[in-house]
Amino acid sequence: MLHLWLEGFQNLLQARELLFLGLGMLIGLFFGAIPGLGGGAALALIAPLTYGLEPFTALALAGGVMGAVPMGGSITAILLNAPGTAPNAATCLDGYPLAQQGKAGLALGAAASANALGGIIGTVSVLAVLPVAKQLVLLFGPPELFLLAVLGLVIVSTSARGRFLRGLLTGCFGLLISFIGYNDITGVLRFTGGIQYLWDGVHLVPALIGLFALAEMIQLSVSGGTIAKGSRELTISSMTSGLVETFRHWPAVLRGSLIGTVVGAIPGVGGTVASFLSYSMTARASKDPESFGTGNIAGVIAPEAAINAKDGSCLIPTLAFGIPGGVEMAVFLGLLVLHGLQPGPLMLMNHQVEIYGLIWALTGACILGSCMGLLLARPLARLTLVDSRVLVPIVTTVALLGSWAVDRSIENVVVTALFGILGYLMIRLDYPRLTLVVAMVLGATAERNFHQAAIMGDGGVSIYLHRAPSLVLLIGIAAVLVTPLIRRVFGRQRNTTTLPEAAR
Amino acid sequence: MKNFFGRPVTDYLLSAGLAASAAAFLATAWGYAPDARAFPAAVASLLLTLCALDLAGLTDTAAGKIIRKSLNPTIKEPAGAELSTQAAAVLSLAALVAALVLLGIEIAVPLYLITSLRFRARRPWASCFAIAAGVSAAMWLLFVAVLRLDLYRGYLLTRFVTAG
Repeated sequence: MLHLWLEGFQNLLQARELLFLGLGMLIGLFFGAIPGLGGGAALALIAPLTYGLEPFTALALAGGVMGAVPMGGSITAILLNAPGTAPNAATCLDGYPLAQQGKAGLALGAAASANALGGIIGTVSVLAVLPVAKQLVLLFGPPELFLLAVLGLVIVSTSARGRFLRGLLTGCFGLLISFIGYNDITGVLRFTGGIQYLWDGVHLVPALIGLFALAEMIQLSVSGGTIAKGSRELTISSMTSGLVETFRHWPAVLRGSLIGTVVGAIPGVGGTVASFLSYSMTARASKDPESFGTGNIAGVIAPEAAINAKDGSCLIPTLAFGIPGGVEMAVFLGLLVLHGLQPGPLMLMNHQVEIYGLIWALTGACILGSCMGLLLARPLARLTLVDSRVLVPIVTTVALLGSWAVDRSIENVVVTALFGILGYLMIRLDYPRLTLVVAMVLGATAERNFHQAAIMGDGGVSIYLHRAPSLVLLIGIAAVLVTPLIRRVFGRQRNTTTLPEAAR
Repeated sequence: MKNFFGRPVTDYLLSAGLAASAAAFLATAWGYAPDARAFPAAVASLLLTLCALDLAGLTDTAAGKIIRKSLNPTIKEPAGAELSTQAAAVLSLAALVAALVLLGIEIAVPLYLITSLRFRARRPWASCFAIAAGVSAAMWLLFVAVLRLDLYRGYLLTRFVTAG
């Protein structure tokens, strides 16, 4: 395993890979700093631009983006109380009060160093778990892969907090979209309406660009003004003291990183839960819990460590089973598919060098992205003060051109626009987009494995009961479906926190 | 805004649209061989049922409140926004898409940027031209110079100018 690990590292040290890693970090910081855009939109926009690049170079670019987005989000969360990404909302709670007290530099320095440390701890966890994950996936055949896809969908639907019905509804719609095109099991062209472009199905990347980047632009166009509502003063002072504070609060770093790692590995739960859980547990463990919310530096360190630790562990379900941990990972799946890397058990067998390279890229981006974020804090924060009427046409144009560039098909532009309008309606009427994306990604796999399992079981369903892994998965699905109902019956349903829009 | 069972009609729009799509998928699936339609038909039927529940849950009736409370307890009310503002945002996007399809990338991009920045953002002409030129140049550099792609020339240009 060590030689693969080193080979991945060596491949990343090539000039071109380093260049794209740096470019990815810049893009990640930029998109992370713009509330509402975040990692999902950044990856959706860059995915078509990686067309023609070597898969490894594309992964270096994506790793740079994913590693740097959280730092970009922390900058605006601390300076402007406008979290760049949903998980950074927890950073606002103490980061912004610190900035108001003239300690923005301290908060930014602490956020950057906690981000970097969290990233490293998260990566070490992935490296420890990956060899075990490889053994585990060998137990999986078509029945298990079908049930795993169902489990992924059910977990994501139930994690659409308080919108279980709508989660299932958009999930089913995503499945229907995934059925469009040529079906390789039955050899039938389905639901294409005679449109040749649809023979390959609805292209994933243009749809994702629409659902995330374009939908946010329509939303911004409707709400008007600037991203950070109202203009605010940007005062940034000494940042090095923040680094010292992070090491002084090492239990908060460790706690946050562990929470981020565990939560990140559960599909559909996402970074927002990780950061808020880390924040609340740190506040609960503190000797001075009352100071949280008024500018306690531990309230910045704990969520930031969790956010970056989550990024590494999110890769486990994404790469091993093709089940994305969140929106960003769902879009990342699209990027993998675009480069011929099919996530799932075989990826862990056949593309280990690429996987280790990606992990290295992610770790590098966590550390370097944090340093770069500190340097670019002021100009990045100014982006949120750009008039939406200027920002929207530029980002919209870039999004549509990116969609066209996927395979130089103008039909992609139309698909992107349609999904943009759909995404806007989903934001406005509060329907979860994550389940739609996950279903679009998993739909074809689910159907293929369903048919193969049916052939294996001579058309019967008893095959699902006779195989131990299948049985475990069936019990898992039942547990995920029944748990919310049991909680409600026993009145233990907690009041859910209203999450920022980007989390939805 | 017209109300339907105590809620604006627009609140039902998405769920009704998804139900209509599910019905269309179901009707189309019926024309395929049993193997090819089994999975889509099952999912479309499930989606129809879920849409019916969601639509019922949107109504301001006793049944609606029960469904909402048990299956969608934390959905947010749509934020207030003028229908005309929303229509303008969507139409502006549609105009850009139409321009890209008909006129091609090289004409549509600067045209859209200049008109949007001038007439929606009310920026000075010089600034509009500078931004449009900057974005167009960046686009050309990336797609033509670096990635060596031929930019899409548009239906009209391809059909009439090149053919002529």
